[in-house]
Amino acid sequence: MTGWLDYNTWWVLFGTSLLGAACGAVGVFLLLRRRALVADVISHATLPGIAVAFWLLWASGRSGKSLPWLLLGAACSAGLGALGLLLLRNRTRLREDAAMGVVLTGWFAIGTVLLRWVQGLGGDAAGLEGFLFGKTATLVAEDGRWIALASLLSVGLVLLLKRPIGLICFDPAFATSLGWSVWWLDFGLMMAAISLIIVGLQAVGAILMVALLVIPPAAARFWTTRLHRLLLIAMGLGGFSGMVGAWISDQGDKIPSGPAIVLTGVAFFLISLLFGTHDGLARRWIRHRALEWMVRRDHFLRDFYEYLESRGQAPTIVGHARSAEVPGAAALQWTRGMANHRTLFSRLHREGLVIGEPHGSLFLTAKGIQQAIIAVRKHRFVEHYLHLLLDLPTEAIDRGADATEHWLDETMLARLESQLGVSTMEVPESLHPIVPEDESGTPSSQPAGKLGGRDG
Amino acid sequence: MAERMGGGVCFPLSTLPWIWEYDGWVVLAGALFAIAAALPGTFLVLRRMSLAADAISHAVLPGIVLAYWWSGGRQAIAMLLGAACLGLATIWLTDRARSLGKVDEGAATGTVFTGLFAAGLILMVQLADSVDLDPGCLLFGDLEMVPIDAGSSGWRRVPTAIWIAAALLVANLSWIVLFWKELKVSSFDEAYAESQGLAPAVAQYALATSVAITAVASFQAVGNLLVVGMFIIPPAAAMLLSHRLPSILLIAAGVAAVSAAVGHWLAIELPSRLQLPGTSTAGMMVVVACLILAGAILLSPIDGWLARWLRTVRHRRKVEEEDLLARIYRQQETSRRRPQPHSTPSPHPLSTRILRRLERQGLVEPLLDPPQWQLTASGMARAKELVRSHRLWETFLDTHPGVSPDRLHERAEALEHFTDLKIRRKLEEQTDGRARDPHGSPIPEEPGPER
Amino acid sequence: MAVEVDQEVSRLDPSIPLQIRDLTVAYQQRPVLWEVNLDLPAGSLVGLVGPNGAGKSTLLRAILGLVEPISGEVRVFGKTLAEQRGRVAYVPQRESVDWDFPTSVLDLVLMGTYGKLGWFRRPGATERARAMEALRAVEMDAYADRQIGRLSGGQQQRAFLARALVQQSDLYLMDEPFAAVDAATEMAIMQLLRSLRSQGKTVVVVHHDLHTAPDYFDRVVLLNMRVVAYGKVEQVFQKENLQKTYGGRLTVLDELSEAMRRRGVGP
Repeated sequence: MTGWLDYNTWWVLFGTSLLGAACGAVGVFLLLRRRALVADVISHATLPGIAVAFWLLWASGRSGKSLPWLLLGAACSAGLGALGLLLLRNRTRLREDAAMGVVLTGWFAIGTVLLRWVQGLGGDAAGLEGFLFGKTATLVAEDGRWIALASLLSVGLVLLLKRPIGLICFDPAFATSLGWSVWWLDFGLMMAAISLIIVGLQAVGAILMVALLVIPPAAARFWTTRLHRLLLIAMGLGGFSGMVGAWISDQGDKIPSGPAIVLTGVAFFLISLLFGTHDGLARRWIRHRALEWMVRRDHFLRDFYEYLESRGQAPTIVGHARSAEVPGAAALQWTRGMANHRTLFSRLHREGLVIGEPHGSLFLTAKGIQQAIIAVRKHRFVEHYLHLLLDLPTEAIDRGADATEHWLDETMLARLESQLGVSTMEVPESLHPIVPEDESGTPSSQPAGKLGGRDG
Repeated sequence: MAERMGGGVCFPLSTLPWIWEYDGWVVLAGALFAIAAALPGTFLVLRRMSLAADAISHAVLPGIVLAYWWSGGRQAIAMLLGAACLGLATIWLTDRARSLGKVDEGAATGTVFTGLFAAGLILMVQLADSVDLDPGCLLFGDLEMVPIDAGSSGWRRVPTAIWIAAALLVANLSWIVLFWKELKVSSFDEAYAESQGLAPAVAQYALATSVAITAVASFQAVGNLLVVGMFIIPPAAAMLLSHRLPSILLIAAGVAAVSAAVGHWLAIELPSRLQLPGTSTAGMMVVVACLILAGAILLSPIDGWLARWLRTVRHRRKVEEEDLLARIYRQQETSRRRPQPHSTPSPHPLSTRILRRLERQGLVEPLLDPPQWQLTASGMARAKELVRSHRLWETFLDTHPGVSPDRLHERAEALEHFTDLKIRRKLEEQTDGRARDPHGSPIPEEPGPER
Repeated sequence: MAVEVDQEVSRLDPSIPLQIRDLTVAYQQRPVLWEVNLDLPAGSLVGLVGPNGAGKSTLLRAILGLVEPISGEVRVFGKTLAEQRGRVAYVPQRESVDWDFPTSVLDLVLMGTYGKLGWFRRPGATERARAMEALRAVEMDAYADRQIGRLSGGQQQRAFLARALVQQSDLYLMDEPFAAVDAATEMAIMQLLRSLRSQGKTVVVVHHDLHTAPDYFDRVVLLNMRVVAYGKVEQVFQKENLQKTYGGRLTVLDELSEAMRRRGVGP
């Protein structure tokens, strides 16, 4: 294959990228309306129409590969398929999935039968295989232009009606009350999907068209949840898949374009799943680790503070460079039940919160004191709140507070403070007596039946 | 026979008459594969997982291609194992994508199986030189080739595909019978099954595995794309015809077998009689199954369209007849209370038809002079029941808030046709045996046994 | 050290049918149940009451192990649920099931025997006899062969109950058994539950109707994500408690859960 793209190839690439982008946009709404697999049914339902059109063309002596007629045939049988689906779903006891399965296989089978029969009659249906798997290699510039045109129209329609269609996805009742007809918008959406499927048959093939409508939107969900960004990202991913896939197919040897485009899309999906900024696995994992650390750190600092407080040596922010000492052995006891206390200590060291030796004495630095005070305030505010407003027994409070305090941010703290009528810099009294722990170590607040250790 | 073989995208089918030694095998193979698919398919459809059949059947493609390539031919066991793994993998991946990725179910399914299918297609094309697989045959099957792959003597005369199909059928039947109650309860009430420790997840994965293995084992015969039809369509038809699970399985099997036989005949035999080329048996099998489904939709005695229409018609006629009976009664009642001068209105032409129907049922009889109709004894009894029901309802509804007085008649009008003795007794109790309805009309007594 | 030793209400006690400790459940990082602690005695009818979305069904499902809690434990007669499945019967919400499923009433009730049958055995004559007995107890024996799709709402509920009865359990968990049934069925179900109680069984019922709760149950759990109150019905049904359960103000606690959800991590 040549390195430079020739005229045909350029148009084809352009067409498939536009197709991918358009499918991405329309696919977002299909996904939101939970109609993703209907696209699968529709694309399989195109086969009988193609076979009939081909036969008619061949029987009348024309070239069997007249694209507009074939596509017209495809559209007709797809439309009939959609009607059949509605009929089965609404007028019989068949459920939605069964109706879809019946139309999908039934129409496809009819198409197969017709196709074989036409082949038997002598028609050369070799080119029609391209409708099943996609064969951009046989596409020419004109095809590319058709694809581009249809894609532009479909996506234009959908983007124009973006707001009402988006509304019916989230709140159909509200949309109706505003005067939008849910039925017509749904219909418009399906028509856009159908026309994309029809033109996409050549590039991607019937079997895989659903992938183009499903995968880029699904991938986009890992980057955002806002509708207009979803659309942009889905269009981008779809367009890119279309282009890259078609290019790979063109450059490579014996790589049909449909699967190439689909697998490119899947690759993007996997990347999004892992690294997507909104909800990708990597992000989630990082967030989770950060939170875990925050929890462990705050618990430790709080224990430190309360240890000193119970001995009348509560550290304050003003003045001291570091707090009074705490024997390392005592500190070890708080961390019993926490995994990896060595890593805990070393990280606390690294962050400049604690200095000293785990085997000897430990001190809070000024920064550590500040952080400890924040941690204690949060915890006690929540305790007070739960006590006052919810009337929980005191024993239950600490555990409840434990869990919730780590998600308080400054705004919420401020609100709590105003509700409780407490000034900002003080550390409120703890609601339950803080007992100085001796070396034998009374168990910490272990809920009955638990294996031990704090939750959170 | 030689004309049936040939190159091209599968072989061109010539016009040969039905040969039992040949076509018999084809039909048998088709039937066995179809039944083997319809059995687990029934549970898929019951669990609203029809599209999983489509998904799994597509997803096993890479496994098939790889197994072919690796074993250099037809190593059945390797393929089946590969298929089982891929079937499980499809379900598992879809589940993971859905929960981990919080992707919508349809999207998750679509992503997983199209990805796998695309991979399979590429593999197939890439390995086309070393793998004796034609995409067309792979996807659409080659049922007509089944009898060719056979030996020449003894048991070997039975084509290989038949053995495979029979084994598949026995396997599917066995596991369904063995795990019958777990399958049943997990399909009906998953939460309950889990609370009872009946492990619905196991049933789910077992079903997926069975579907995958069936899809792979059948692909040579029926083709990767058309086996899905056998998973879904016969059970769908069966569910319209019966409401008991064992019968449904039996009917599904029957539909599958008939589809195979008729499908093959329509694909090969009929065209040859009409001097036309034949077509794909597998495709025809699915088409015939669809026709049977359509037949079930129309003619099912329980809720087919025909049955529904007949019921509506019967109901309408009954209401017309009863309305007329009640009207005659009321006319007589009025004329008894306020005797009219001799002028009876002639019956409306429409009601003459209804009157004739009533006459056939022995509820009215004609008086010739003056020409009018009157109720027979049984007609009178029935009319009394209707009017009694009507007026009891009016009385009852009148005492209940929320029903405005001008709507009483409408409501009672609708309800009177469905009020039997038991309900009338209750209404009487509830209205303290009042003798007149809110409009002042007397409530007739319950018609007694005298005639 | 931070807190004093927590006074456990009671240790794991094999005579107590249901003990729940610190049960916390979240759906997609939004807390649904919070630190639920309950001990339910034998021979009692306990109503689980609260507004929509309060977590009542979730509590049942968590007890049955159908949802994974973030923390906390459940003990049935001192042991885990997995060890005591035979002693717990579950009646799910009627609408959780597709009643179009092709099975008869008797077959549905027979499902209650599956748990004890083990993997390969079929229900036999003994099981059928027990199923018929259960159907008689709910006055549905005449409908044994009817397809379940052709039952009325009340009849469906009775069939579900019969399925639970046939298990002969000691702890019954029922999710809204009185929802949308006719008055006669409601009375019949109530009688049944009372007879279960007099046999020393424990029946926990998720109930949607605040007004009838005091008539039906001896004990009540007022639930709104956390247990607002639990105890004998007369003591619990106080204005304050009801206000806290059904209050509906967006309290800071709710905002806390919102913040958690936005951060994307569980409690």
